[in-house]
Amino acid sequence: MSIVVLDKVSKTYRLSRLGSKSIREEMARMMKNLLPSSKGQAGSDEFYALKEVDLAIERGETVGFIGPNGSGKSTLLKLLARIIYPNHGKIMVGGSVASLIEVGAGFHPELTGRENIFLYGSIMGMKKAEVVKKFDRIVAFSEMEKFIDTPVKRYSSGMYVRLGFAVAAHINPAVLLVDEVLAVGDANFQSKCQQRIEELRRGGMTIAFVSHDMPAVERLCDRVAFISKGQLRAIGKPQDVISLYYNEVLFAKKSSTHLAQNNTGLAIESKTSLYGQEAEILSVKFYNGDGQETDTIAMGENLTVRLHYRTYTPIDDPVFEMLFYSPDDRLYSHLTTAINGEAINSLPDEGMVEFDCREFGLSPGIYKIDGIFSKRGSVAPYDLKPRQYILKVLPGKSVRGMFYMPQQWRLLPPNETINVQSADTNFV
Amino acid sequence: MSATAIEKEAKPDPLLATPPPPETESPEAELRNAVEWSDSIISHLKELTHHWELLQLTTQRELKIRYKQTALGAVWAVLQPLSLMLVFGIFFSYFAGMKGDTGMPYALFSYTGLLAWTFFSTALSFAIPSLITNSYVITKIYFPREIVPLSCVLAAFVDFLVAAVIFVGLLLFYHNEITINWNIFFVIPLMAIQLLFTIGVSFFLSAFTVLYRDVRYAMPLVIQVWMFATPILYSATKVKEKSETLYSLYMTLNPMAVIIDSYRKCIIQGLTPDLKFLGIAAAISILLVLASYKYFKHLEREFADLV
Ligand SMILES: Nc1ncnc2c1ncn2[C@@H]1O[C@H](COP(=O)(O)OP(=O)(O)OP(=O)(O)O)[C@@H](O)[C@H]1O
Ligand SMILES: [Mg+2]
Repeated sequence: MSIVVLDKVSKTYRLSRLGSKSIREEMARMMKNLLPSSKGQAGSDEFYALKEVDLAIERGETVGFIGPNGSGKSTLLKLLARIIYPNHGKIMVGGSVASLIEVGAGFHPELTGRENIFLYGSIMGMKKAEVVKKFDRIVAFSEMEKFIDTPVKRYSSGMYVRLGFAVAAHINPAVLLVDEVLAVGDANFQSKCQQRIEELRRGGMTIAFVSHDMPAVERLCDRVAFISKGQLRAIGKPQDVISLYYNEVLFAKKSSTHLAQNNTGLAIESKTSLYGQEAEILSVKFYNGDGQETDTIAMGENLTVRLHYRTYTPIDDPVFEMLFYSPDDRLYSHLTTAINGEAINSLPDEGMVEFDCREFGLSPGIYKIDGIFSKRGSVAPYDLKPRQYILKVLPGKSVRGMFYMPQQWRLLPPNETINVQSADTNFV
Repeated sequence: MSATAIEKEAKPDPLLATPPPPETESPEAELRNAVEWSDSIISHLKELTHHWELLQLTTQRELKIRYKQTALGAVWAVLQPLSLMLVFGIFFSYFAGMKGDTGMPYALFSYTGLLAWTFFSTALSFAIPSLITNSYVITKIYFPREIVPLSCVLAAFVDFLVAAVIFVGLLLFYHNEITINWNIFFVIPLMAIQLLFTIGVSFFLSAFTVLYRDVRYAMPLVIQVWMFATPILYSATKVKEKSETLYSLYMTLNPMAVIIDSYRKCIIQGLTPDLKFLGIAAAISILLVLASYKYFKHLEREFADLV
């Protein structure tokens, strides 16, 4: 049964009026409207923060909301929390809603943590006795015993979020709304929050979760909704929607980098760029096991990468590097000839460096790749192409997890002694 | 100290192991329509009574913050009208020679006016910008928004009651010069009317201020002018002596004038207040509170977008 239903919900804001007006402005506007020429201009600067969103959330479901900045995620949660109202459409929510919108649950800066817990509980419609019952648990969860009688304006932002989350996660609303607050907490608290969300999920709470932390969204959510420019673009299985989102975000990026790539050979580009004076990277190309150029490869498949360079001055002892980043810019792998290759002497003016990987280990997803051409031991590279190349990895030999490992499976009789093989011979 | 902290971290948190308690609140079978907003004041009031404890808490908070920030604490509530009384008392009674024109001890006369006025002006000066200064809650969580200005008015009312202790002291001090009789019980409906009127003005102006910020800056001036249009330092009879029509206009349009004049009549002089004007003031207050509550609730939906 649905606990939250949105029926063609739209929310508009005016671009020019972010916030309230002053009477003077209003008079000026009225005067302007009296002039015939400017008639009909009012309202033309309206834009949709959300446009005709239809959505149903089932009881007990955890739904993640992802999308670029300003796409309307917080707006959506605020609508659900009844903080703001839609211009069109209907919203139905079957039960109490607790919201944790951005940092701070709505604490009063002058009051202490203790007083704020009671105030918040009261706003949530709890009786004082109920808050008293839960008080110790909330404080213990936030690990803020020492600061509970300090005014919250003296809290750090992480402490603020700790207390906010602790309160919201213990007052048992029917629907819990969490808007990218966890990012502020430290690692310990983040994992604690995620565990708590897991628990609440298992306990049957309905949760709407906005975050830019895709791994967390994927882990915690039953379904993910992708919002872009105020519209609900997709809703479905976390993996699918997240990869759609990445595809879209990176595709927009890619088209601009394509231009840059086409320009790299030109003198204009190298003059304006910080890098590429003494040497530059012309291209990076990927080849699959059949030797065909590609931008898509399956996990565990053979991958060959060719980096095309050109030098303008004699260079010795160069180092070539490739860095693989996830779309949220986490470094997944850093490969460099400084460690894995032999020292290169007397480098030709132009050529290619190839690296070959028998069984490509990164998990399915989209990767952004840096190419770096530098001198060994030097800080400033000759050329750096940041996040300029894109490689898509499809599911292959591994089923789940963070990465793939080359492996062999054997069936053995009992009591077989361990037979150590060196890594090299394994591959031959 | 730090060793125990580390030890505590190392242990698995027992809280995390326990499954969450079952939902105490039984989920409503019907879906609540968050958009729907019925226009009836009854339903708004019903919701407000539902949040009664919150109103209590926010009123306490208002007082606490105010008293916490000043070294004098609750004494501040008394000090404000008292110091004004002394200043005006000295100034007017000795230099301006206004003593005796009212037949009341000037200290008592002026303190009555200042006490009632201080409640009104304090309530307004806190309530009018209250929605803006509380934007951090309004944009984060839902609750009936009228609680914000209402708690400002109630906190000022508590200040008023505290400061009234001095007033009782003055009454005792001057008990030979004044007449106290059953008419003193008029203070109860008078306070009720004043409270309603103050709430009405606060609802309207606090909501209006969200829409038009400049109201906030114009208000101190308006309150100042209003103060001079109210018989606080002078007697309403002075106006009556000048012109009867002006007086009835004055008493009809300014409920605060009626209220303060009536306080003096019923407490100090032992007279029945002018019931005609009091009736008008009561009617204005009730209509104002209803209309401005409706206006407030009408604008409420936009508050989070505008503050
Ligand atoms: N009160 C307001 N007045 C005017 N415009 C607003 C208001 N609140 C939000 N907006 C606009 O609505 C759009 C959506 O904002 P929203 O906060 O929902 O984005 P978001 O998806 O949460 O982004 P982020 O990932 O950065 O948190 C933005 O363009 C924002 O400028
Ligand atoms: Mg947001």
